[in-house]
Amino acid sequence: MLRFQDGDREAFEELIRRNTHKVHALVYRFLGDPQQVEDLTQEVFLRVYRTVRSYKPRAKFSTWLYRIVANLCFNVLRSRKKGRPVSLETIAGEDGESYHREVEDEHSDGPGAGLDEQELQQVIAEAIEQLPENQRIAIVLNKFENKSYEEISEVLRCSTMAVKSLLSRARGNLRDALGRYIRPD
Amino acid sequence: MTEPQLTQHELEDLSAWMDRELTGESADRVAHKVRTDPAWQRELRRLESVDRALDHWTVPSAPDGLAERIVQASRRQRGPASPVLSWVRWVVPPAAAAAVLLVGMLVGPFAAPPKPSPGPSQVSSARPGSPSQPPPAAVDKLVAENLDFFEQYDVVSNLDLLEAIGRQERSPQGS
Repeated sequence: MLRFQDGDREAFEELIRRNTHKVHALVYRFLGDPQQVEDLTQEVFLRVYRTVRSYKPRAKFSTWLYRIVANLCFNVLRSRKKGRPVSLETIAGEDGESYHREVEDEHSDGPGAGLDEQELQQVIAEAIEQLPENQRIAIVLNKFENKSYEEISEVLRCSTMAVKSLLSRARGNLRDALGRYIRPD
Repeated sequence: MTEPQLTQHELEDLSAWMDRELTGESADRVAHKVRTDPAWQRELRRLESVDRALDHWTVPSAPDGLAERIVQASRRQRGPASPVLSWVRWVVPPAAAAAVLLVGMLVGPFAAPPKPSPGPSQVSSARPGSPSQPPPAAVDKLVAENLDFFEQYDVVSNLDLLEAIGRQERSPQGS
């Protein structure tokens, strides 16, 4: 990144090749919509290209990159939300955020109850999609990118206490949404 | 009988403990609860099962050639924006507006020579709203200089006269 800041174009192209898969996966998890993933992955790198000179080496490059990904995905998710009717089962959380709560079926056989791997993936993807954007981004960074609360707080520009709360709420919402499909050991 | 539930604060601590983000006393307290309290044990099992379920969520890998397409797209881009230029873009318009304002303030007082103070007979023509209305500061000055006159001037009893003067001023041949 520093080489690219100094005008080394090849360094930027190397950066693209190294990070495309990571950014693609991240955008996919944030958006859950394969249609937009490629375009947005490209846009992330073009944004990096355009704003390279504002990058300060004191920030980790990955954190800076994640922040660009998160900002772009926030925009897409918000514009999507504006055009989407609110589900009747969408309820307001204590913090004013809304999330989808699956009605627990006590007669269900439990986890994976008859679900094959593909169906289970679909159920999980839908549960994640129902999370408020900041919870979704926090859980993806925590669970799939192994980011610490400190790093997540830098990406989301909030305190580590807020991250702690976001992740707890995200887990609680996922527990409610997936409760009928998964069985505690 | 309903199961005892953890409070939101306790859930946050449990979640952070699972992520190994608690240290010292807080971590010890949660570890103790998890060892001894059935409600904490039950909640831990539920949250762990959520975490395990998330492991099933795989994503397709990026299509072949995507990286190269992005490289090509980046080659079509103009050079990266200079932070200095973008800074200038934001600062120039307000700075220009401020400069124009400053010049106006400096040049304004010299643009027209100061008029001599009008006498009491001219006061009625200085009514606010008339076509020859002087700026508010000049009106204040006029009033201050003719305070004796204004103290005794009875606007109500002279209303007809003032309105007639006003009508004359508004007419095409008013002045």
